[in-house]
Amino acid sequence: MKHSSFSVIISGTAIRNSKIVLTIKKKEEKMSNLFKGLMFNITTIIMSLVFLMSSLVHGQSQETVVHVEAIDHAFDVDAPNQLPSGWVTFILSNQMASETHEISLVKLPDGVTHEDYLTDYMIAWETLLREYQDGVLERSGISDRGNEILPAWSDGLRYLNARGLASPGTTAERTVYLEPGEYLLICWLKTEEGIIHIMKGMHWEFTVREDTADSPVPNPESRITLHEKEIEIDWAPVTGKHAFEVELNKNGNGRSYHNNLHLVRLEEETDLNEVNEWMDWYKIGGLKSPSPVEFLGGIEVERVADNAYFSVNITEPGDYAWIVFVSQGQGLYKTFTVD
Amino acid sequence: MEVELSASPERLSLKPGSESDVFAYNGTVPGPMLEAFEGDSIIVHFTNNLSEMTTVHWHGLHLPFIMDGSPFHPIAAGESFTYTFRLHEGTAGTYWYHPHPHHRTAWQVGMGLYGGIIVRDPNDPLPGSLTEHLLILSDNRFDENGQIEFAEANSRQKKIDDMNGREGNVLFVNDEIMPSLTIRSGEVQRWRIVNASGARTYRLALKDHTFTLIGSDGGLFEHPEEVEEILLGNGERAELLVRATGKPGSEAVLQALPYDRYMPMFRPEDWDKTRELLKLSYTSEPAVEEQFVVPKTLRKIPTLKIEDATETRIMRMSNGKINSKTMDMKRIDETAELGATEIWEIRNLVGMDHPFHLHGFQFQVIDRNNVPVSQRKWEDVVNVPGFEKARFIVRYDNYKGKWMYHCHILDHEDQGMMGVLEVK
Repeated sequence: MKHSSFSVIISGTAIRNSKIVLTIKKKEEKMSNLFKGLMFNITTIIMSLVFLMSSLVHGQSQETVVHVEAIDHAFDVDAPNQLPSGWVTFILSNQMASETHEISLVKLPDGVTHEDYLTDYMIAWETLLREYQDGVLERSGISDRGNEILPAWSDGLRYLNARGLASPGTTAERTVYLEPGEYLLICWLKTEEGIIHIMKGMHWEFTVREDTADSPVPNPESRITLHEKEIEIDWAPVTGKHAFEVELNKNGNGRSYHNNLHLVRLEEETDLNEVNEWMDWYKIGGLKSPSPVEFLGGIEVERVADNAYFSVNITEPGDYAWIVFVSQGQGLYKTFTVD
Repeated sequence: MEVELSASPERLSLKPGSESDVFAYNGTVPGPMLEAFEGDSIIVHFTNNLSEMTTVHWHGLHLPFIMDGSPFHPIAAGESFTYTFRLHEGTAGTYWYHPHPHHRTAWQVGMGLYGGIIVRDPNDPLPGSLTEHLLILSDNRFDENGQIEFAEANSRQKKIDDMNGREGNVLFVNDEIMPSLTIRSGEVQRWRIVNASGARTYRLALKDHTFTLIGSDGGLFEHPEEVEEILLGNGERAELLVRATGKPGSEAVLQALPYDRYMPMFRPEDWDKTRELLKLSYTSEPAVEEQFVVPKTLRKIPTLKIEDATETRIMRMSNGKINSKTMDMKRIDETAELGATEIWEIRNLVGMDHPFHLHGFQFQVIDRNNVPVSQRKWEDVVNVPGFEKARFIVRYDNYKGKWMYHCHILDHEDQGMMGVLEVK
């Protein structure tokens, strides 16, 4: 029963978001808790202080923010490897890299180490990908083969959210509720040579502690609902930063029709069907550098119950599109113009 | 000092019982040891007898840009070049020389091009009566015919070598496998060790002995340090005193202890194997009665002041890139003023070690992961373990030019994990 972990990747991954707001007083309490847990390690304490100060400055008050600079192929994370539980905003800045990147957040099952994920699990995925791309494996056989070679604990992996693809020069943001446990921040995209970025070193491990930041649920300006054949949004597009919540419409079985949404900047030659095709991770060219269009962020969630909160920054007038990636089918698109 | 040096294809026996096609300086692997004093002028008439371009990089020495033997000054096949430079006062120490052609360094060093340099201080604080050994550590890989083996393109091994750097399973000390040295009980010997391996990091220990570490890349420390192990990253050097605390007739082995410098997905199966490098045999003579006392202060190391730093440069190291870029000979990545003092922050953002090397200027590591170092030392390589960071301070004295900085895992360097600092 390793199906769930692997279906996560087939369709993308999963997300959940929010923004954490702490009062100054709460921040002080949080700092105290932080110190309590970290006294054994001076280095971590210093990093924590830097991180908390950064949080204070960034949020002008209350958000818990983790700044992540993407480079080819690693994350430069301005935060300690221990975070409080609760709502945390991850800002993926892709200002230095020349390739498109993402943040996927995965929570490990109890007893599974970061190294287990990077070795047993990732090597199995590399094998699956190679077998499929070499024609040894049919698409329909991926599930069974995955069950054969993925470690038994794969079922227990929980992909909180993923994607939020950010092209070079862009910044993507999402807010997610973190429960205590062991996590990895990873990038599943591929290099021009087809190597998964995680295998190049694009991973960062962290622990979410029991103490909570006690932050309120994010307050998005608009809601986007993903219906079976429509992206519903009541929004007047203008330049600037915009925060969204994504609602997943469900079918009769309680499963969502879709689980992902992305914003892209359209050029004259952009073919959204080609973009949808490119987003298929399994395909030889899938999610492989270079990307066919500029991605400005977005989100993908694993569970219907997960709330998906993300922000995008539209810096220039132009033509844009929301795109819902549909595996082996027609993607869902909604174009709009920013004057 | 004026010498002739050539790089030529040769056929030598590196491993007992077989001959290998190699590249050699003056017909030997390693090349001849070059030895001179501070203040000496060095003239090296170099001839490239290889069928490909090369350079001779004088690793760690402070010299004019054009003499650095960097990729900016290749010497074509069949051509000659005379390297001339002066050894500055205060630079006595252990250095080495090796080729540095862009994209071909791992290959040429792997084929046998490397050699040691000792720069002596006429007023060395340690007595010349101490027995001294220069130990150049290297490793190599051979096929069944005794030929030096490199992974085939697109092979699984090539993928591993690209990530880890090419490691060999045959370990050499100078030109021998598991050589022997002798020591008398109670004696103190001075060892200079060079890590000339393309990728292997050495965690050195001498069973039942401790070391007195007295120097690093750029020469003697201010204060000796008692250590049980020495970690030597690629390109790094160490000077140490070995005190023979064993009994007459006994033996000790210099070991390379397991060191996990790898990404988990690429960690070799035998990474945790202890390897033997050298046998130290005690003579049967009775122990030396008069014990050598190591001076508490070896020399004064001038401290580069943090408050004098005018810039902090951040180097983000991923696998194969620095600051998300690969080497471009036409691009200047960093620019600085001659005479400026600056801080470099080396961030290793991935899960394996990267030894960072700056050409032309010795630097002083300030701290690692925000923890200050115990004393300032002159260094030109700082090994930064995975997900760690280190800061060093450097002053660009005397020489303008385009100076390379790079990961000294030679495969990484060849992949372009390198940049250019122009000092104007």
